[in-house]
Amino acid sequence: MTEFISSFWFNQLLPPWKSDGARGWVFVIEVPHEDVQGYLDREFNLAAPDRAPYYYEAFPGRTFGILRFIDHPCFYSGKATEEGRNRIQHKELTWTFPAYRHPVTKDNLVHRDTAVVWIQPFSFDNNSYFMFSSREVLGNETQMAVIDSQEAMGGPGLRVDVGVQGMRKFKPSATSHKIGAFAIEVDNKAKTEDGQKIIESSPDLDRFIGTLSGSVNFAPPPEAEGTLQTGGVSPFAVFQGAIQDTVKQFRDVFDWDVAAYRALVSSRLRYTDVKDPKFYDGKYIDIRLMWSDSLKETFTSFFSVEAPESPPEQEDAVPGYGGGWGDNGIGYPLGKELPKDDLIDWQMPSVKLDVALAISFTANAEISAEGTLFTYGHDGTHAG
Amino acid sequence: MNGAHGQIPYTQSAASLDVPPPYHFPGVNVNTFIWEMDVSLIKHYCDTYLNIGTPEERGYTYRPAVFWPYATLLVLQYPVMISAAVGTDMPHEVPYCDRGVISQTEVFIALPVVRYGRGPLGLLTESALEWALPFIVVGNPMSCVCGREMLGLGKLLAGIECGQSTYPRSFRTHMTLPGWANDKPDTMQENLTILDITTGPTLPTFRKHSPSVESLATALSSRDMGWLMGQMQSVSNMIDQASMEMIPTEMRTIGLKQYRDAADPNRAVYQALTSCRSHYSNIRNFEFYDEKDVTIEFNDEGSFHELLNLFFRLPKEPTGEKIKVDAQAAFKFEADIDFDQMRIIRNVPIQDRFGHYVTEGSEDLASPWFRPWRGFFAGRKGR
Repeated sequence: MTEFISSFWFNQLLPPWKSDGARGWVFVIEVPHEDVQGYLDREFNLAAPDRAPYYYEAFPGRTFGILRFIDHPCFYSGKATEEGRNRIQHKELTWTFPAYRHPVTKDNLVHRDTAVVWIQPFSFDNNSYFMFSSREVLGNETQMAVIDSQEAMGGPGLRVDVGVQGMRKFKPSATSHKIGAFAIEVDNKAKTEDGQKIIESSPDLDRFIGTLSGSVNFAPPPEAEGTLQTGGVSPFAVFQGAIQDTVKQFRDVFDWDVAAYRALVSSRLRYTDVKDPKFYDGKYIDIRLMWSDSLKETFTSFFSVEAPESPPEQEDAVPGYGGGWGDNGIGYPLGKELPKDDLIDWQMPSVKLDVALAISFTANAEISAEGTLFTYGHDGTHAG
Repeated sequence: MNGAHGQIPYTQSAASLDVPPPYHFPGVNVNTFIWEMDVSLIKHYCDTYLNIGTPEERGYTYRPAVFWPYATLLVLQYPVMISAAVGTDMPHEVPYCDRGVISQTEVFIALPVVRYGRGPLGLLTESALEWALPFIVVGNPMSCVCGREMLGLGKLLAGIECGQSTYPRSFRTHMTLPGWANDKPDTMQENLTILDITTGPTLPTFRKHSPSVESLATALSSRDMGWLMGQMQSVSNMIDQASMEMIPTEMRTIGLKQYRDAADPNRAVYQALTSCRSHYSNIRNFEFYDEKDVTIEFNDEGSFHELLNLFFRLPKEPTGEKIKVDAQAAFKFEADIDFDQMRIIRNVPIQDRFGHYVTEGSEDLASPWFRPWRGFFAGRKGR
């Protein structure tokens, strides 16, 4: 076995990761089927150069994903260490959607032994130590961000502001600075007791929520088989936690287009001790995508939103300007009160994302690495 | 690259943070501090992170550059960082070179190491002076990700404040890193101060702390020596221009690029020694500080102890005190820096948990001087 040579700078937080008292908000968003399948084909079903023995398929019918905001006040590695250096706090905003993972034989035949897995195309995190761990151990596309959140306290139910390093407009003279990425507000009116009605209004949404709730143990235990619509997949498999598959890849030092390492990696997310789940009606939830050249490809690829009307050309703001909600539709979109971190530049238009419904909860979470499903370039062998 | 089917493509996703090389950084403000270092610590670093496997397996040995037993700490303020990658494989995308620029601050400690090739021929054609960077932090997350994932540099994201200290033409920097104040199991990570640097004004100055016979910088502070330093800058530029940059002012870095297995994180699934060149040109506004006016303090607290052990002989446990460094020289200058010539020195063969080789090793050890001639004599070696 080739040992990883430990060092101060590559001492990542190693899985399994545990989170005590994580506060979660899950926003259910409908996305076009072809966008989801397109992403799976580009990243997971690609011959790179050999094909993995799996075929990833988007859920049929209307397709949903979740934008998930989690505040981790106490996050740590479950790998026993004698020393400290283990506890961190971080907040994350991630985009995930479920898909079928079909095993494929050498004869290119698809097995029926299908699993439901979650795919996470991108995430934002406000802790650099966790960002490196997430990227370098599991291969997640995690990006460093400023994440400011406020919950309840008489105002809106939730407000989350996310800023990242980027440029509003690509041009040779532009300078990278902190720009707004997401602005989320859940109004107090959004809380509803009729969550079940919203879910039952669509069979596709019903099935999606069945998969989701099975993953986080909102639903009854496995013996209640048959009470959930889970797309023909064994609810028992779903109840073991959410399996998340990732393409873990790193560039070659010399050739930009070549990967030095590329593999399919599987991890598992389990929520336990789920408390206080609440439903929220999507029509009272305002999620804004702040439209910049740095992020528009992400937004159009995963949410299929259209660009806002071309705003008047503006000079790059000096970092430090928060920017109010102007008459021309440019600026911080969620009310006149600016978010706490006024170093984020919000001087750009935004696009509203439709939300089907949202769920909030408090839980303990555990994320474990299940293994490497397939390593590319090893003559088709599994490298465990 | 790995395996029989050809190269493994990297799929560029919309969320990718990578910015393609080569990079051009004009007008970089560089503050440099040099102190004497225990050579045995540099040897320990070489043996741990560079001399992987037996001498027969790897074909080289890294050792400290005994003729330069110093650590060099650089604080670089990049007003503009440009990706000079003109082409793009995504025709609908704006080329990286036209997207704009990044500005950031970087702090690193460089240790000179010499790679000695094996045998008389290897000693001649495969030896090279390179710079290890056991400590490198930046203020920009994109720079961090590129440095770590592409080059294998252990870049960490730090809070770095730079500015003028008490006197005009002086300098200070204050640096924080995420860390743990102690090793108690319940201690929460926080941003802790790891480094503080302050200087007096650049020379000449009325603040004469050092007897002229003891200080290199004060010796150089005379009008005659100041003139000489100005001439040296011109000479440096002249060398670059007259030689058409065949004899550039450059630094080749060496680093260990490695990735963990997801489920068995003590196992490496990729391991390679990688190198790149940073080329300093158009060096200007070179000024010395009086090194006796320089204060460099590292914070030997909690989790930082492991890092500081690489540079200083410390007790087993963190002292919780400041480690004060006596600078041997301190100076500042401006330069244009180009970052290019990324390459793999050695791909370490990778074994799975059963001891079977899953990827082959390879080397590309040719010295820089020998590189243009190598094609006449030998191809790339594989094993």
